[in-house]
Amino acid sequence: VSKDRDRILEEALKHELRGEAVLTPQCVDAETLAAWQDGALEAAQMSTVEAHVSSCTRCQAMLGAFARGTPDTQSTAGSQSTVRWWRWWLAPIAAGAAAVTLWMVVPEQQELATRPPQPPAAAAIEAPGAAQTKPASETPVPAPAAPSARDANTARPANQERQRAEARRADREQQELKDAAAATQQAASSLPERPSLSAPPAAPLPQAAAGVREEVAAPAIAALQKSARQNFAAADIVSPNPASRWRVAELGVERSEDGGRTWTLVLLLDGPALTVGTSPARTVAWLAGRSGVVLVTNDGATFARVDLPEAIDIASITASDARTAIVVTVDGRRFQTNDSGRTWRRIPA
Amino acid sequence: MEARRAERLYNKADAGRWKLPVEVFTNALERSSEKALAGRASTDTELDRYYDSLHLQDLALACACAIGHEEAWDHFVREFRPAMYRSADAIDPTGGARDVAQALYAELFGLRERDGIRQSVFRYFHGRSSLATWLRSLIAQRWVDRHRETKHLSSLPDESGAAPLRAPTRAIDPDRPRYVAAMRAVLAAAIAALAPRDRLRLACYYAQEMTLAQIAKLTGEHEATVSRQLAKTRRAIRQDVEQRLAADHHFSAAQVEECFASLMDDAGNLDLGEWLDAGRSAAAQEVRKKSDVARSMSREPS
Repeated sequence: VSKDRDRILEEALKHELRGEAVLTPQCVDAETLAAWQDGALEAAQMSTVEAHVSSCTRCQAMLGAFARGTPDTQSTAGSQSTVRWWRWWLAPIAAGAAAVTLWMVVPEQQELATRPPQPPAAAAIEAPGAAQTKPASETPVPAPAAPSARDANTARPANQERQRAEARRADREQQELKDAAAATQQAASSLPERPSLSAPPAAPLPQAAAGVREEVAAPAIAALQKSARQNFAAADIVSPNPASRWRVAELGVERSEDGGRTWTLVLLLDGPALTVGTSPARTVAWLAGRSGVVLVTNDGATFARVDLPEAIDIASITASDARTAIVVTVDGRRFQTNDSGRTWRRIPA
Repeated sequence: MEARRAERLYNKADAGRWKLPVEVFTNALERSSEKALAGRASTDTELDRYYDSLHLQDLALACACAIGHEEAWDHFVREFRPAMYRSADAIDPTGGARDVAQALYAELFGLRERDGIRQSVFRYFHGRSSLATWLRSLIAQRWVDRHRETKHLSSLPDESGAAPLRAPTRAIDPDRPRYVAAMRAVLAAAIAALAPRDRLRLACYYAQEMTLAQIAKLTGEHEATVSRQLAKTRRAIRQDVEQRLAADHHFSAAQVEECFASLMDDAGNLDLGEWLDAGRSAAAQEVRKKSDVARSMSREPS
C-alpha cells in the first residue's frame, strides 16, 4: 500500500510543484544563480537564496532551464568519488551487463577495443523540428578515449572466471526471457497497447552467452563498463541487423540506419542519464539508466518512458522484444516486465 | 583600491593582454566586492581572499569587451558564442532560447548608449562564476522571463513526456471530487511544511526534472545523499498527507485509501489544473489559518 501511495504521490508532485511563475524583488538574478552554481556563494547567502528558490516557481524554472543548458560532462566531485568507492562492487554487475549485452556490439567489438570512440557526427544529425543542426564552427565535446589494449590485457585473467559465471547467469536470464516471451505471446491479444507502441515483430532472442568469445570479451567489457559510467559515450546499441543502431549523444538519443555512417536525433534527453541499452530487433530498443529511467521504442524513433517503480540506478537491461525485458538495479535486484514496461515485477535473483 | 593589490590582481588576470586600463579593472573588482559582501566591512585578508577567488581572467575579458576592445571581442566570439548557442538550443530545442541568446549577444556588444558610452551587459558580470556559467545563467533567466511574460510557462513543463497515470478502471464514486479536493489541499500543505532544502530538491527533481547529479551540484551534496533525501522526503510527505487526511478531514482508513485512489483515477482524465488550483487555495487558507493561530498564540502572555 505504501509503495502504491508513494507512486501516486510522485505523479501528483510533478503537477503540484509546477505553479505560476511570478517575479518578486527577492528573485535571484543571473549573476547570483551563476555564482551559486559555481559554488561562490557564502553559506549565509546560499541559505537565503535556497530559502527563496525553494518556494519560487520562477526561480525554479530558471534553475531547470540552466540545468538543461549545462553540458552533462560537468559532474560533482562527490559523484566522482562515488564512482570510485562503489566501483568494486559495481564491477561484477557491470561485467554481467556487458556479457549479456555483448551480442549487441559483436559486429564492432574488435574495433571497440582498439579505436577511440568517434565524436558525434554533428553535421549528419538531422533533428526533428527546427534549430537542431549545430553550426559548423562548433567543436563537439571530445569523447572519452576507449580503454587501451594494454589495460584490457591486464584485466583479462581476472575477468575470465567472472565472465564464465556471468555467461552461466546470462543463460539463465535468456531462458527466463524465452519463457516470459512465450507467456507474453499467449497473453498478447488480451493486453491493450500503449499508444506509442504497436505490436512488435517476433524477434530472434539475443545469443548473449554463446556469442561471447573470451579473447575479445575483456576489452569489450572494459569499454562497456566505461561507457556505462559515461552516458554511452563509446558503445552503439546495435540491433541484430547491424545497419540499425542507436547511441546516446550530447543532445539525446540518435539512430542510424546505415551502420553508423549517419545519425538522426530521435529523442532529446533532459532527464536522468541513460547508461545501458539493448536492441532485440531492428526497430526495437530499450534504454535505461539513472534513477530507474527506462525508455522503449518499437518503431525505432518514438520512445515511451516506462520507468521502474522506484528511482534506483539500473546496471543492466536485457530484452527479447518490445514487451519483455529484465533490468538489474545497482543493488542487485531484478525486475521484469511483460507488457512493454507498463508494469514491473521483482523477480528472484 | 590599493595600487599594489590592483597591480597584483591585474597581472593575475592577464588584463594587459587586452590593454585594459587599470582603473576599469579595479572599478569592476570594487563593484564585484560591493555586491558579494553587501557593503559590510571586510578586513584586507577577507578582501584578498575574495578577490583571489574570482575568475579574474574572465572578468578582464568581460571588462575589455565592455569597453569595445576588438581583440577581446573576437576572442569572446570565438570561444564563448558557440557555447552560448549550444546552451540555448539545449534549453529550448524549438529555437526560442536561440532568439534569446541572439538578443543577448547584441546586448553584450552594447547596442545602447548612454552619455555617449556603450552600455554592455558585460558590466553585470562580477567574476564570481566563470563567464561561461554566467552566460548560460543569463540565457536561462531571459528565456524563463520571456515565457513568464507571455504566460506560457505553465504549459511548458508538461512537454516532458512524464508517463500519465493509469486510467480509471472502476465506477466513479460520487464522493470523488471531495476526496480529490481534500487530497490536493493536504498535499499542498505538506509541501509547504517541508524544510527549504527538502522542498528545493523536490521541485528540482519533479517539477524541473533535473538529474540527481545536477541537484547534487546545486546543493553541494553527494548524489547518493540527494537520492536518499528525496526518498525520505517522499515518505515524509506521504505520512504527513495520511495524518492530515485523518486529523483535519476526519477520514477513515478506507476514505484515505479512496483519496489516494481518486488522485490516481483523476490524473489521466480530468483537468488537473482545476483540481490543483482548488487544492492550492485550500492549502493557502489552511496555512494562513495556522499562521493566524500561531500569531495569536505568540501574542498571548506566557
